Amino acid sequence: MHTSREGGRTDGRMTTSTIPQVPSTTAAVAVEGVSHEYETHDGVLLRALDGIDLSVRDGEFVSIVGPSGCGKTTLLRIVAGLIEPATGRARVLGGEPEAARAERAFGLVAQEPGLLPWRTVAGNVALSFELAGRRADPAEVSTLLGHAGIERFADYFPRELSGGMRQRVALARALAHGPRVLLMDEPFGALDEFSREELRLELLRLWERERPSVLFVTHAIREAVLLSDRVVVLSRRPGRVVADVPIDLRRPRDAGVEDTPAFLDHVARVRDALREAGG
Amino acid sequence: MTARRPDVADMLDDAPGAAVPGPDDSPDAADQADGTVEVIRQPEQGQRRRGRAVAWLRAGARAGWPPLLVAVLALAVWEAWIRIREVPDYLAPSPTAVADALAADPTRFLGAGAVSLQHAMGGLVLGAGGAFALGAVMAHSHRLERALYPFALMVKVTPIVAIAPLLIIWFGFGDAPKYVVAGLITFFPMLVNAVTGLRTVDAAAHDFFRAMDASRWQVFLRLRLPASLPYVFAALRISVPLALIGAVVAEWMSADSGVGQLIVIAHGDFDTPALFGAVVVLAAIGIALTGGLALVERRLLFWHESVREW
Repeated sequence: MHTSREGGRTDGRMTTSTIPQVPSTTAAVAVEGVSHEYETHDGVLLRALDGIDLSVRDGEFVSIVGPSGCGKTTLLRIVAGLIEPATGRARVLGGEPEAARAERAFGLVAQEPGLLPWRTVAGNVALSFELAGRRADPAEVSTLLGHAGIERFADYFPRELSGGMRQRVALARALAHGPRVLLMDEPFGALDEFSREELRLELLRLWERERPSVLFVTHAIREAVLLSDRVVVLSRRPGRVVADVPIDLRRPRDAGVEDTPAFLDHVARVRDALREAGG
Repeated sequence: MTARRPDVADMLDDAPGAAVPGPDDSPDAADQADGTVEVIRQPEQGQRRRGRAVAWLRAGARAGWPPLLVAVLALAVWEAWIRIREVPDYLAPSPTAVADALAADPTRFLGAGAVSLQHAMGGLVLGAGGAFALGAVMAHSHRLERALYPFALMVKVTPIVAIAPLLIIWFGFGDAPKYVVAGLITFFPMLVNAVTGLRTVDAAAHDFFRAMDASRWQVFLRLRLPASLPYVFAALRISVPLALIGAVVAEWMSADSGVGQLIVIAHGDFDTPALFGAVVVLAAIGIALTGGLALVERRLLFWHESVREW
């Protein structure tokens, strides 16, 4: 199913183009003409998003990059059904975001890990099972922790862990119930560079296991290129899609890919698009 | 709870730069990555429990001796002053006279204390419990909060002494008015703290619950309720002594039971040592309740900054 990506072109001749729109029924995530605005405390109405069209195919890893304040987070929250767009709509797995939520189709990782400080690492991961309405099997939880490289810390409380480890727990929790759509909002944004590097590769490794569809918000261009099949570039507020850059790099990827000319070429392409967008 | 594994906990603490490979004395991130942090010491199961008990006793002794010393000194000065100046008992009794009064009829004092304790606790359950339930409702709806808050405030600003006689008229001379007075006086602190606590949830955690389609009940039980506990305990620290005051005021007004009645009788008899004895009983109950509350708080809030030992 994913073999088409193997051996993709790395000659740097691809053009910045819009991927043909997949009919929304087959796309994991489809954002159709979404605009959104919000009111500031002094009554100014700001347009955050302006006519966004975007789709994530089943099993695809799509990143959204853009200058800060371009509405990336808002877009992600709209996809998750946490907020209603002013116009347009988001479809997830062919239905309403609320329906996808009810099916526990989402895994959510935000910049803040959002762990429960009164629960151990294992308890935090078990939360996903509990919210999905089933008992957490200790063996299952411990397997998950093993995948995320945190088995050793099962009985620790979040405050006893470093920022990077906490984010690993958040990742394990988000993947615990086998979500089909993983939504990530600058998950490594608050980490130091070293942990960030490490977690990117960890995320790739975890993603390869089940290959959920991913919508990944970031402002780090290299990160977006390393992880994604496609990078969508948003403009400064109000956010508009200004480029949709396919990343034709061989999978599975590792740290070595970052030193290849093809990688740097993709990075340059995304950077140019961002510059044109006024970022 | 951190005391369980202080060594590892310190190593993993979220100090800035802790995850960056750096000075030799800090574990580097690569170690953490595959979960092979060097464990310097690992307490055995039994040792761990015993160690904790010993640590508790030590901590108790360390916290206990300074106030004890002050108490002994104050009592000594008090006793000396009364004896030197030959102050009569009915004006101000010496500590030994108070002790004599307590020892002369211990069941009288203990019995009255037990009744007052019961009134205070009953009122607390009624008042603080009701306030928490109402707070849970108000935390979910700003409109309901706006509608009900003025009336909650009315309860708060009305001096309890002013309505106590009314309550006795309504509820008679049984236990009921004591529960009601103690309940009313504990109501407001719990209400305000419950609303704030139940609303103060980690935004990222709340988003996760919502993305998982958690029901309101799941959010309440697994997120809001535990998150509110630091506020609930802050309220209890205010409400527990207040409950005792409320109970004694009600007993004093109807003069039919508890330490309140004891005070009325002792006052009428010019039995100042017994009056002081009543105060000692109340103080002992208050200290025991507050201390017990602190213990429970430390156990339940091990995860919260407020009980963290820096």
